[in-house]
Amino acid sequence: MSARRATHKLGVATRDQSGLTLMELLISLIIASIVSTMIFMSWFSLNQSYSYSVHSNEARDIARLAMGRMAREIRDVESVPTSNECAVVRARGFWVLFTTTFNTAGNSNATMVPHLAMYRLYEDETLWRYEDMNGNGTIAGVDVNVTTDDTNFNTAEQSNGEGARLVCRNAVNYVVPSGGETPLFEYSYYDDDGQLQLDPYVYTTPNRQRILAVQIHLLVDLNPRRSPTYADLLTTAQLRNQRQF
Amino acid sequence: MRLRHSEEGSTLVMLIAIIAALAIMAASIVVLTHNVSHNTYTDRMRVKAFNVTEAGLDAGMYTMSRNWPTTSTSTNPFDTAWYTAFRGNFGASQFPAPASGSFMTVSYFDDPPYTAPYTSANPPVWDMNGNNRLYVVVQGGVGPRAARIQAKVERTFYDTHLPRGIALYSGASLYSNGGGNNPKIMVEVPPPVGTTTSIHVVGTIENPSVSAPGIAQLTGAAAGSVNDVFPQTLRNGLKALAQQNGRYFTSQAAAEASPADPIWSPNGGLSGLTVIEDPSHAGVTVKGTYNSEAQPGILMVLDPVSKSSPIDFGGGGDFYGVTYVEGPVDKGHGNFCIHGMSISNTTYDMRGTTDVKYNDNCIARLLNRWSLNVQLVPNTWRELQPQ
Repeated sequence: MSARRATHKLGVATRDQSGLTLMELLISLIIASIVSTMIFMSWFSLNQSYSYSVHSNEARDIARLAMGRMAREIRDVESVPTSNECAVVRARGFWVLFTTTFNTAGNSNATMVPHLAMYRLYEDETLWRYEDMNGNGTIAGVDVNVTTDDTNFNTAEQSNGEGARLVCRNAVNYVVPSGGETPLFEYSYYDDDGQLQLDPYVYTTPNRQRILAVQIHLLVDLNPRRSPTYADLLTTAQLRNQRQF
Repeated sequence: MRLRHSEEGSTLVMLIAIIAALAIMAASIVVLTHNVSHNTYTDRMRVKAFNVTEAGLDAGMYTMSRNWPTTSTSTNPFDTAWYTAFRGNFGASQFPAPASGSFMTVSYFDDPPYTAPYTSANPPVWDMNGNNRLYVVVQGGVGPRAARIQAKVERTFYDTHLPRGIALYSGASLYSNGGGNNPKIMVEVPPPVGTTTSIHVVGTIENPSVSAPGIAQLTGAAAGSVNDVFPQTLRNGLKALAQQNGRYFTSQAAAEASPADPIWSPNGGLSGLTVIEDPSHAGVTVKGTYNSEAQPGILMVLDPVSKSSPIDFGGGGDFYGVTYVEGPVDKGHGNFCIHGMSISNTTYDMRGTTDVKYNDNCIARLLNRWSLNVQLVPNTWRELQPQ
């Protein structure tokens, strides 16, 4: 009797643990895979979005800081009193060379002589700042007399140039818009006829002396090596020391 | 048995892990967004601080144009009332109070050279060398940001371009009764070496003894036109200045009731720059003392069409500077004396007892008499580190 009961109990237990049918298993697997695919896709998507947010915000911040720095420094250009050269020594589309005392310790002393500083955008999409650190009137290791404008700058300047500092990466002004380029700097000045011009290239000292403002247009790819997303930053720096009275 | 089966598997663990990961990412994005908005806020405050500082520089220059510190005892025009008025232009919601320091501070000091005991570290805080140039340092603070600007500023003056050495001009004849009152035109302070003192009369001079010996008498064509002495452009400019600064009147009574102004009318009334254009052609009677050799003035009585509004110098008194009348000068009374130059577009009657004494100091000082504004000296604008 007890053996039969035991067998019966075992039989019941076996029936309870008989498991799922193949169909049930397949359906549950399909549902599980769909659900997990959705979860993982959401996960990857969120992760990617998070990563993009972090990196693009960082890139945008850097670009904005670069713009702010350039605008403030260019706004402050000041010619060397003993020189015949004006405050903007070179005025080109992708680089600008000027003299300034901006952010130099002790510049509240009016007798401090401005020194050279330069911003140059290279075709490798990096924007660099150089500075005459020793005040000898030149920026060593940098060609400021390039005959071909804005192409084929020597990238060795980035490591050899005096006071070289990387300001911004992924500046795509050379390739945007497609098939063209967007000058980083454009200069507002009055021409001989008294007409206000906006030009990325201003040659000769008398013309540069008439520059009133510099428009800075920086295009930064926030999503490098993927489908491009641009931060399009535009500002104008009015040269306080070249105002027309 | 069934309960144990229900609690098997890793779904719950996975769910917790996913929720935790999502929570971390969400928190990160919140922090990131907060950082971005904080950076944006800081950027905006930096721009606002700079704009406030530039506004302070402009306002400071305007204030200094009216209160140029010429001596060590000159009052600092940037007092509490000035700062309160300046702050009132900026709403506290858009321009919050600075985290430290003042919303606006303006200071100034002289540009070299200056003499001991002053040094570049301790410069005089007034225009000690009298070159009409000072350095101005302005600092503005908004929220967490501040900006500081230094610039050299200079006073500009209305340039009168008055010719030197001309004591009197008459567009018609000069009358004088002679007698014991002549000469009535004399030299008080001679013009620069090489320049002769003269009177210019387009018509005739009734009595040549009206001017002291040594004063040239030019008549007829040699006298030139009034525009050679007191050009139309100068007259127009002075009239415009008078209109802009409350010194243009349509009656003598209104002019005499006018208040003092530190620049345009030191003592009110007819002092300083005064332009009267009375439509009733009633003319002007000048009595009392106006201006001084140190602060000469210009009195213009306009009547461009009828040229009939007269000026009458009556009673005792002195006028330092230039009088210009488009009508006649009436017979003067008493012992009035004009120190400088006197011009009439028509007849000049000196049959009374009025004197004209050419005073070159008065004419020379009119060149830099009225400060129009204070402007930046090019190539001296600098942005400094805030302190």
